[in-house]
Amino acid sequence: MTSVLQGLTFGDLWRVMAPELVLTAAGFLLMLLDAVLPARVKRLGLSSGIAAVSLVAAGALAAARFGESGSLGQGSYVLDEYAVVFKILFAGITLLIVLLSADYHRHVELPKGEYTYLLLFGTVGAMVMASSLDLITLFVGLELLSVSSYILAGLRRSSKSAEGAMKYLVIGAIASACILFGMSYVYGLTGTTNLGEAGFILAQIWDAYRGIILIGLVLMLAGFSVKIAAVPFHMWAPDAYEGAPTPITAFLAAASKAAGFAMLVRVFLYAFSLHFPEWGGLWIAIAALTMVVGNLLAIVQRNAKRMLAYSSVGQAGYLLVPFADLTRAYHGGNVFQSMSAMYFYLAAYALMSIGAFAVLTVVTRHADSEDIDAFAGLYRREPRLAAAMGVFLLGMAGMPVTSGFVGKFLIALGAINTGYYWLAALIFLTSVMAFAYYFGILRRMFFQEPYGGGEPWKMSPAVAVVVFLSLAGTIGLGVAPGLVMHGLSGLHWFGQ
Amino acid sequence: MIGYAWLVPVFPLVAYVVLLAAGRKVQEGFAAALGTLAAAASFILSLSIWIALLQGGPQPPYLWPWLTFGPEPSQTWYVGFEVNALNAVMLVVVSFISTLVLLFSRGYMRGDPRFGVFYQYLLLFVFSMLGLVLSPNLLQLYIFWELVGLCSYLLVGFWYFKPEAAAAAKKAFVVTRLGDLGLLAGMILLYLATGTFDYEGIFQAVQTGALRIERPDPAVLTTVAALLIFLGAVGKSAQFPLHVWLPDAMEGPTPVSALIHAATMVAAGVYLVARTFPLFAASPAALEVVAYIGGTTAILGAAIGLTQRDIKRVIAYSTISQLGYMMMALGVAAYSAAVFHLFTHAFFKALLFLAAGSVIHAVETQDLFRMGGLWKRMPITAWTFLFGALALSGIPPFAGFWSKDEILAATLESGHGFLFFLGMAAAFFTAFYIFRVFFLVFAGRYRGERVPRENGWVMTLPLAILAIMALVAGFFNSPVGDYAMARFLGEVPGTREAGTGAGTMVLSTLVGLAGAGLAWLMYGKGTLSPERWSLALSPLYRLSYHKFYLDELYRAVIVRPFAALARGFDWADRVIVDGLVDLAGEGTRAVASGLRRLQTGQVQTYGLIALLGLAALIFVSLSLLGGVRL
Repeated sequence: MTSVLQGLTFGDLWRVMAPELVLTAAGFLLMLLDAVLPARVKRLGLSSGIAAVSLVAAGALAAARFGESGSLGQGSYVLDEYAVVFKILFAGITLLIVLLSADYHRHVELPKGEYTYLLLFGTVGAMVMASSLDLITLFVGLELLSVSSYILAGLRRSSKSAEGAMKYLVIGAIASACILFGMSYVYGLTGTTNLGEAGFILAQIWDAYRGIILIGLVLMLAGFSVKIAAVPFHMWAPDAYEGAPTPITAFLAAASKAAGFAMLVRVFLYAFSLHFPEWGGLWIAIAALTMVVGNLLAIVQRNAKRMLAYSSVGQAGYLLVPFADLTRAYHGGNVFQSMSAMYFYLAAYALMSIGAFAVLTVVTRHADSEDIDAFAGLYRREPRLAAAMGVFLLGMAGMPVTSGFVGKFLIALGAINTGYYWLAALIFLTSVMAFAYYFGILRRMFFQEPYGGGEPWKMSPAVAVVVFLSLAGTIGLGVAPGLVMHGLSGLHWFGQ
Repeated sequence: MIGYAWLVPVFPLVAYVVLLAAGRKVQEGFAAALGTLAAAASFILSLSIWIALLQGGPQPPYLWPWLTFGPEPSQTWYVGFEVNALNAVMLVVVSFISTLVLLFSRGYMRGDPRFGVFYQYLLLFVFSMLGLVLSPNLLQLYIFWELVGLCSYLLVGFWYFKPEAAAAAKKAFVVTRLGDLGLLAGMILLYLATGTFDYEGIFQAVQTGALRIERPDPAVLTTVAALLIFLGAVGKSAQFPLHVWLPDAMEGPTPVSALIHAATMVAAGVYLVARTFPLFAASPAALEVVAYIGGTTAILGAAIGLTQRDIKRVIAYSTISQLGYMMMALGVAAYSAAVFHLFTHAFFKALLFLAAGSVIHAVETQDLFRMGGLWKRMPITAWTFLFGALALSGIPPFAGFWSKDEILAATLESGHGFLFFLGMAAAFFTAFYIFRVFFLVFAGRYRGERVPRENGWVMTLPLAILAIMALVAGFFNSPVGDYAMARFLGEVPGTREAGTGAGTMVLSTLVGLAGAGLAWLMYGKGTLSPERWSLALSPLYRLSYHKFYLDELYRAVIVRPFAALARGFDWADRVIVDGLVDLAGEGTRAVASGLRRLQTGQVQTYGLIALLGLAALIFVSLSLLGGVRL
């Protein structure tokens, strides 16, 4: 190890991982303040403020590295455009979550200091997952995010929260075990933990050791599937989502899922891509199953958080489709196309789900219920909130003029172009199913009388900002997708 | 200057958003002032764009990529705007009429509880219409095309508590949607055949015959595409046989009729055909269809207008008839004559509607036989209406004379003798029906109850301005004005030089005077008894009065069978489809609750399922994909 660390200067570190360093420093600062400051001072929005500033800085630092490339530790930790765009996404998501939490803390009793620095550490973990090119560092990033998430999910003082977190932890541990076991196969066969080198060697020995490679691959696929909540590895998600504090649910749905995809795509494209057509069928099966089961189960839910959780499971299915396309036509242009489509939909979905969960915090606080009936007559109580929620739901269902439509359109188009007509049809069909349950909420919001008086519900400025930003993003990406898509289609992604 | 053209629709949009935010309790004066100023700003900008275009010549469209997709070579859809001679004219007309109508509405809609909403809708319409005109491709045009349709629906049904208004709004929407379907199909067909929505790209592909669709051959394909696009224009511009919605749309407030259903939106169909003229020029068959549909519409509208009792309906049929003239002109490739008539018609028809609105506002009825003798009581309205009537009848030197004459001359020159005859006959009818209205309203004794008084300046000022335009707008393209507009519009391939024969001029003037004279004898002087004449021509009279029974025909041939069919479908739907849906729904629910039963809440089960999933994956990958070769 000494040889790896030799000659490593802070300048190098700063160039490659400045956002991570900033967030880690801010996290430690918050820990320190939490220990020394009296409770009276802590109640002020100090920790949220520090977190927000550090996240803005991290996002800006990540964006400043566009077009550059570099690496640390002999290519085990890289700076490429793939890492940069994901780091920007993570910083943006967590910033919205911190804003949303600032309001949430005023109404729900939570250990605020831990809450905030764990969010920052989780974000660092996500960033490490996007930047690592080495199995060991990847795993460290994954565990950093996972452990932070387990604790965050269990922070609420209720049995449901503890139960959800416990299940999340157990299933997450199984996933980690699977991933590690799969990685050990790769290491055993290639003698290296570097993904680039491993991929090169695996391609050469593929025919000789196909069975063993496939076992390693499947173990990792199963583990990653737990992290992105793909069927049949999704079962922890509804319980954990329901139990967690609502802003954390949004974090799990947006940031954890995006990080899972960042890692999944990086590992599989580097290590196994040359033989994609041979094993891609597994991926397609998971994608199709996830779309159908997620949307199907969402129909029967009456708890709004669980409904959104299943909807989030279904979205993971759509997000897998761009890579399913690669099984038929694997070449550079196609990979970039798929990357663009997936990233666009990830960003679009993150904004829509954060917006929807932000509205949910207002509704559940006032109605003191997470049942979908709590939405009844929301239009009478606060028309702007109902209209925004309407846009988010229609966006997730894929209505035109929202980012959700453009995202699904791009994904379905990719499937059609590679000849997977049935997969495109399935996207369409499951979107129709999604209308069924989103429409239940829409109908309640707009066409039902509010129960119990119908007094107006106020939303705090912080929530209003989050809702507005999500709404602007959802409609903006729907009306002018070219702004983002052009940037994405010009990227080199892996610096090749 | 031309680079700022996008600002033209932005002014009304901003005003719309402000009024929307202000809500329903907004002050009438504020809403009216804001709306009028916004439209006026658009007008001034449009005018300076026109001048810039006169000096600098046309420029390529300003485009931004909107969406890029697909594998290499990837396809890109653009948004943006363009300014050319044709739409510069349209911009000026639309923004000018809008300004006056928004001002006029201040008086007409005074005291309406939804005054602010009315201005919102009007401003949204102005924005959409200007956006439509600026669109550089069919896709963007289609979006605005539907938006103006939506605004028309909202405004026709503005007094939704009147059942007739609600029904008329629905009829207008449904009938024009029929045409829109054609436009959409034509647009998609052209996209598939040429790979682009851009006008120039489509024209190039059509002219060179380099289409991506092999069969049918390019000539047939071009004709089909052109006719589909034309179907959209038929719906929007109320051409036979889809003209039936426009008279009913008169249930909307009169300023709406003046702006949307006379000057701007109904002209959008004519604009569309003019903008895509190279496509039509590539297909002689399509041009013939356009010409004959236009000619039929011209004579049909005029013939129905002869006998109607409702002042607004007469003018509505007149609009249908005049739009028919424009289409006929395009059909005989008299491009500049068509655009010129669109231009002059916008002024004098908006004038006639607003003057009629002024009358209706004063007497509170639309029945011609309960008016009369208003010449002295409403002098400004009377004079301006007279100007409009003279322009419409084609009496020199008023605007309509020059433009209608050009159309008739071009029709004769192109060898369409029959169409020329139809046009002349329609011109005679036109002069008769509009002067029938004039004499019934302004001559003789007052037959109503309410004491009419001239309206305030907000209503008479727009009338006066439009009356001046009705007098002078024609000179732009007359021998007097050295055919300035034709030169401004420039050469469009495949079009005909607008010629003017002195013979046609004299003939059409005489025909117009004859029509007006006959109306004077019947309704002004009273020497001829209209009753006796209508009795003598009883079958024809009834045919005209009942609008050639077209509504009845449609009800019998289209609506009833469809209703029967719908009942059949309804039965099938309730019994068969619902059954299936219920089955599917129940099935879905059953499957879902079965799946839910797996979600026991026990983490052991979750782990077990995950493990089974993993085992299945390994099994599949080893047995099916890889083959076991350990």
